[in-house]
Amino acid sequence: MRAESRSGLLLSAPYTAFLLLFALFPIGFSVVLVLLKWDLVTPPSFAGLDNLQHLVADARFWQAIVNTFVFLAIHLPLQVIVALALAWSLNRPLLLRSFWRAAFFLPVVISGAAVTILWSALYATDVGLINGVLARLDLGPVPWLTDPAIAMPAIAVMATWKNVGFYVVIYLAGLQNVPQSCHEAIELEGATGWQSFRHVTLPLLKPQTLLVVTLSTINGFQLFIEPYVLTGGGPLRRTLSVVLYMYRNAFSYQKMGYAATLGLALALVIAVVLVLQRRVIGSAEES
Amino acid sequence: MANVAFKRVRKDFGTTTVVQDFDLHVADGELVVLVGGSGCGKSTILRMLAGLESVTSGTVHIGEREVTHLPPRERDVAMVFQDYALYPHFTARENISLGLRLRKVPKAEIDRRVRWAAEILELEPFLDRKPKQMSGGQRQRIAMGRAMVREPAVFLFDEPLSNLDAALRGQMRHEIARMQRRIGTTTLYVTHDQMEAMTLGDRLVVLDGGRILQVGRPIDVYRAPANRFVAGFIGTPPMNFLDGRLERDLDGLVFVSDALQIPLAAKRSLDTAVESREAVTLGVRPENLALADASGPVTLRGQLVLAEVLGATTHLHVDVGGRPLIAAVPSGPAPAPGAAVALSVDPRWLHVFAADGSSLLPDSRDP
Amino acid sequence: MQDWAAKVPLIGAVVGSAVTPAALMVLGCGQGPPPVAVPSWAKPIELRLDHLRHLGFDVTVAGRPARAVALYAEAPDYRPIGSPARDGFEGLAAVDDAARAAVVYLRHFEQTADPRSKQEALGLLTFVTAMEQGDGEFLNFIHTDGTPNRAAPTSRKSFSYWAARALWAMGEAVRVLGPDDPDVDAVRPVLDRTLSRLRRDVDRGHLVGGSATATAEALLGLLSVQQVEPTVERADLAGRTADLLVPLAQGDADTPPWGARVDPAEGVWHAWGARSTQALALAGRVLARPDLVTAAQREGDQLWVRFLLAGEVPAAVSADGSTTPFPQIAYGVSPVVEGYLALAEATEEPRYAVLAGLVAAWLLGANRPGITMYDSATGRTFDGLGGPSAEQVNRNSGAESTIEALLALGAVATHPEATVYLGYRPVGPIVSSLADAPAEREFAGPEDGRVTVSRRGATFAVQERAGASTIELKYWPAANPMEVDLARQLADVWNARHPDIQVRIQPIPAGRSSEEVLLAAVVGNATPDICSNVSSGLLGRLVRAGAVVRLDGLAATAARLGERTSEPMLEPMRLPDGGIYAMPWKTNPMMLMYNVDHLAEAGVEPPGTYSELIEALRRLVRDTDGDERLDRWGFWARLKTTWFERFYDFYPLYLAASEGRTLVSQGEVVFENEAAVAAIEVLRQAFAERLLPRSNFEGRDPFMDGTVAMKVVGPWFVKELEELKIPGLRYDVTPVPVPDGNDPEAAYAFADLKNIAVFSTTRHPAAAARFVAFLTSPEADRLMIEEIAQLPYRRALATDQRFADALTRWPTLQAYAARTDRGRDIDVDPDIVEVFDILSEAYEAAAIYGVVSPEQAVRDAAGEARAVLRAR
Repeated sequence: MRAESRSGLLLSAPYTAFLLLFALFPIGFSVVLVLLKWDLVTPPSFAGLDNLQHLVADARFWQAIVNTFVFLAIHLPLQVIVALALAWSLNRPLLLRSFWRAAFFLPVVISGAAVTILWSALYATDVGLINGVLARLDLGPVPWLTDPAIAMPAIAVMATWKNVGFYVVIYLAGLQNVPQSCHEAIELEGATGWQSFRHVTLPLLKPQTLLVVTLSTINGFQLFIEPYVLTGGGPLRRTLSVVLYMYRNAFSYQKMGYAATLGLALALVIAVVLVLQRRVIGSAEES
Repeated sequence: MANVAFKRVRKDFGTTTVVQDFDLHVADGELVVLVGGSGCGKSTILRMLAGLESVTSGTVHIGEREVTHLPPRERDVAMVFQDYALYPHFTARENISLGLRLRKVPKAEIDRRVRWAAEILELEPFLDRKPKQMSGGQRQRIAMGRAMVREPAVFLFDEPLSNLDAALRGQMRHEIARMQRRIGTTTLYVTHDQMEAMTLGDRLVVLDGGRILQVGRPIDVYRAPANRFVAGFIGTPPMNFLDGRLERDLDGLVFVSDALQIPLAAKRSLDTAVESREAVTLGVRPENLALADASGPVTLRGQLVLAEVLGATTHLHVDVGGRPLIAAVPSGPAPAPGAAVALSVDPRWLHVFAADGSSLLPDSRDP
Repeated sequence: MQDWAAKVPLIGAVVGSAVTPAALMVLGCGQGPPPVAVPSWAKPIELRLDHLRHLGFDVTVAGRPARAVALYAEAPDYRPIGSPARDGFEGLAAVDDAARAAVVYLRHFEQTADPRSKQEALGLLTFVTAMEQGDGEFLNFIHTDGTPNRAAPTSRKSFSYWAARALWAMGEAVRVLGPDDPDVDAVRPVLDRTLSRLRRDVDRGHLVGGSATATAEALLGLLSVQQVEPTVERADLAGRTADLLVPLAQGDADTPPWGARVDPAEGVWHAWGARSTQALALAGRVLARPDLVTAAQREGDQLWVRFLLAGEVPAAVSADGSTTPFPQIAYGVSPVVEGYLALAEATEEPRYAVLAGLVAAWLLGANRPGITMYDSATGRTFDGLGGPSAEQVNRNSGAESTIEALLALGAVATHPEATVYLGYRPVGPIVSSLADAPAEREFAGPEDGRVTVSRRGATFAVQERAGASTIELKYWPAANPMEVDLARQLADVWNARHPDIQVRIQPIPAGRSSEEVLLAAVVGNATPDICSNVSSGLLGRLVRAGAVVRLDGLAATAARLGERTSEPMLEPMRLPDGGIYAMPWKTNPMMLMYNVDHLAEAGVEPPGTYSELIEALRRLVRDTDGDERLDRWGFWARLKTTWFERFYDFYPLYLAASEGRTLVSQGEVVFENEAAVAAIEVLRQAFAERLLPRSNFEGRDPFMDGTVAMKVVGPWFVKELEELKIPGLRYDVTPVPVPDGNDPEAAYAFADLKNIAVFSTTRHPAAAARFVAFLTSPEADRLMIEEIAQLPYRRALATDQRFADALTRWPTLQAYAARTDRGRDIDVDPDIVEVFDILSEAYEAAAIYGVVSPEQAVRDAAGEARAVLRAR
């Protein structure tokens, strides 16, 4: 072995060990767990394909998948539109622009649990702020979190508020990469502001949009803290997320094998969805 | 098609004045080149005409309309940018046709115009490629095609050839000239390259520091530069300058610079305006210096520092009494570096500039 | 090609390194070090009635079938026989023994609810009461054919020893079976006549049969009745009977016979039947007369302490203090043991219990020849020690020895502080002269335990000393400040008393829930010795993991379980192997708390049935601010489906309706029944009529701020209400409503138990058990009530005199206390959380959102739950 390779291997050994221990080992362990029944405190027993069979017939799991799609159906478009709109507004000279940029980014760094508790106060049916405002407008109190059809959309809105700042930053960077001359050219060609946006800005932001959609999708599938704190998975299981279900199986019921199975299924679903998204939106290299 | 007029246009950026008191008329169908160094304001003027920069004071007219405060899309101008500003995600055809599609021009008409522009610019093979799949020159032609199909009142070119290599630049110059002549649209062309300026323009506008230094036909600007800046800017290799003063002797004015004496007797037109002992700069173009035998009229003697053979012409870098001069002579048996060299100058082609830079020659016509 | 050749081994190494340790670890996971085995000396003493039953036989007396016990049984075959020739062939069986045997069986039934013991006791009582001659006087012996012996002086109709014992047996029957038990009714007439007869003697100032023993035993019977059926007359009679015993003591701390209570006619104190101390102590406690306790202490603190200092209880002590050491019999040891235990209960001083244990050790080998007198396989007890050597052991085993041994050991077995000392032996030579007894005597126990008894003037001290080293126990109370405070107080008391066993408190480490923390501790082998925040839901999983020690297998906790809980209270907590794996510590039985003023304003009585509940809800909804939206409600039924949310609506209603059935029992689903449907239906109706708020009331308590008028909650809440002093909030409690037609007072409440567990990683299970027994002692229980307004899981709490004062510390606590006996908690099943989740979701669908009928919901939930239980 050449000296260079040897020293390279040695230098990368600590991080490799770290990766093996904290990334690869848990993955391998989870895969092995799928075939086992284990409650943490007694020795595990072999379960064969029982966990998988149970998963296929598990109504709660499929409901959680549907719930996640409902969440994404609202969250993704909202995220892209709001983030883009905010980035576009913040990309021009503005009074206190740095303040606004920081303000929109702030929710990203606040802990998820704190945000969730805050929104539970906003969404409370009787004393919540939102219903309070609606009451001033003579609009009835909306059961944001206790109506099966409204609860998940409400969570989607909340998740958008929390994360949009991050994507505003991404879009801001992208906007600054759009050549000014292209805007000028199309302006000269007679385009209105909207046409300029649609034909120049948007297509040039495709890599960012793909990133926003991909990250939001992954985050959406990993939804946990919001249903956990706000609704406990209800009402009528409509805000049950896969991760919440997994958490419950692991830490409330001590069914580690089944929880690992859920995790594996989730990873597969995410992978499939991302591939499909890529096909639809197009890859970043095409722009 | 229209003429263009700038009337006392001024542009300030904050407290800095970038363009001062700019007055210019461009006739319908004319190709006017705005030329000058970096920061002279030429691009700003162009962009003010396009509407991409606001006008601080003064007015801008296109045809009959005053367009000073109109938004760009209502001015009916098309611009070719230095970085081409092509839409990267559209094909060449889509790039060219986008403006028309936005204005809801019927499809048949769009196709006709695109074909027309493609034919002129020889773009047919590339129409369905995307910009990143094309070379710089092809991209530039797409940008031009895009401007052409709009059939605007005015074409604007903002240093379109700066990003191309030398050979391509030459080729594209001809393309642009050819295209403009064929189509006949009023064109304003901005460049810092004096060769482009000389070859393309019907008229040149030489700018420096936001002011017009000289306007005129290229040949006139060349032969009778109004001031030292213009004289030094136009022409390659640049004009040789010698500082000195004028003195009168029995035959008339003589340029004296240390040991050098060059009679200006033939320039009788100077007599009336000039005092003796005035500090002046003498200018002589390299192509007006020739190798002379020792006893010729108006001779400069010096030592050869370097001879650059360019092919048919050779540039001789000569040190004349401490001052560097360049002479462009037909190639032939050349003296060796260090050899003594005698240069003769045709007095008809001497330029004299006052201390403030202005030319002391009355006009640009042949004497 | 070369690229791949290099990559394959690398990929293989990476994948292998991930999967292999995963597989290995998984296979090796979940196996900690093997738990510490419980040493034999720490195991509880076994009370076996086999020999006693062997001595029992059927007999017909006065035309009624009854049971009796044979007087004697001789080694080696132990065939039951009657009175031998030397005693004049008195008979086969006697009221003397039958009555005391009845007491044994009654106490056994009290502990274990074994129906056989009740049957046997009733049979013996039939015999005993049949021997009463209509005026409260009794015959004693009967012959083999059932005819009484009227002639023998030890059998003549009289009011003497056997009458006193009969009274004792009848009194215990009333106490154990309850005054309203129909079987007790048969005994009543005889009891009343016997008491009248007793009064005649007492009125005249006569000791029963001229004997302190008989008087004491009669007094014991009288006090038993008084404990459950107090009347002024009986109290007076008991007091005066006790007063007869008080002056019989002679001597004092320095003068022989050092306080011995002697029959006036006798002049000699004998160990057998020395029951006055026990009777006086019990009388002092039941009648609230401290002077009687002091009288009892005169003998117990002085004469009896000298026995311990000497190293043995002699057979007799003369007035001048000289002793006759032998014969030593169980009947001589038992009264001292029970006397000390009675003093321990009357004074609440554990040092008496220690002495009781040290004395009772005689039955297990703490005697000169070192013979184990009581056989723990059969309960057979040797008749006595004739002398100091092994050959002088009388290995016969008659009824009396066995009975008295069972009485003594039975009492010790329910006394945690006494049972520990059964294994201790006096150190050094036994001294036969009480006058020369040392001022201090050390007793040595297992694992270098040491107890020192020392005489201090007229009283005594007991000190426990560390053996080899101080034992340290780690104790995790719940993390909330109130319980930590309580724990510290208790630990301070314990640590002062037990310098050799020091308890360190550490509040449960932080985590989302204590259950997760404890499970994590189990996995990480970081468990404490003791934790008092173990819920029943968690217990199932802990037992499955082998993480906790079986507490009915440790002497101190087994004793406490016997003392504190009845079998019906323990039965739901038994694991399939019959074991009790955690000490049920405190209960917060759920009742319906209501805002007195709101209900009065609405003209509503506290609801007892479902219809009343619905009607109350209808009348309690209000719109108080005129915005056409209801803002006051009768009740808040929580909307979230997390499993424990059902503790405040469905589960209490279900338990109240189900007559004690829970969700899962022995691995089977038992909730698919009408009670579950009814509980869901009443709430469904309330939701459908919009009588309940659809809100989560985050961050506030709607009962406290007056938004809802009723709430299902346990007594812990009372402390919060009292401390917050919410102006204008007057509250009271009523049992959780039941379906129409059921009786709310008979319904079961949700006990919300918290248990104390000893983890199997402990190095000192016996010491840990002793501390747990202390945490659940009457003293600690009283502190719990007073400090944190929660109730000990203790039988008959509402009527137990010892807690009457404490229960008045907080309002409504007495009402809550009445529910402690009728509690049901979460099933001790490893999957109970999942079952609750399933039920919770079914409840939500049926009651809150009405998308499925309650019957269908229960059916579906039961099916799902069965699948979960089956799959494990």
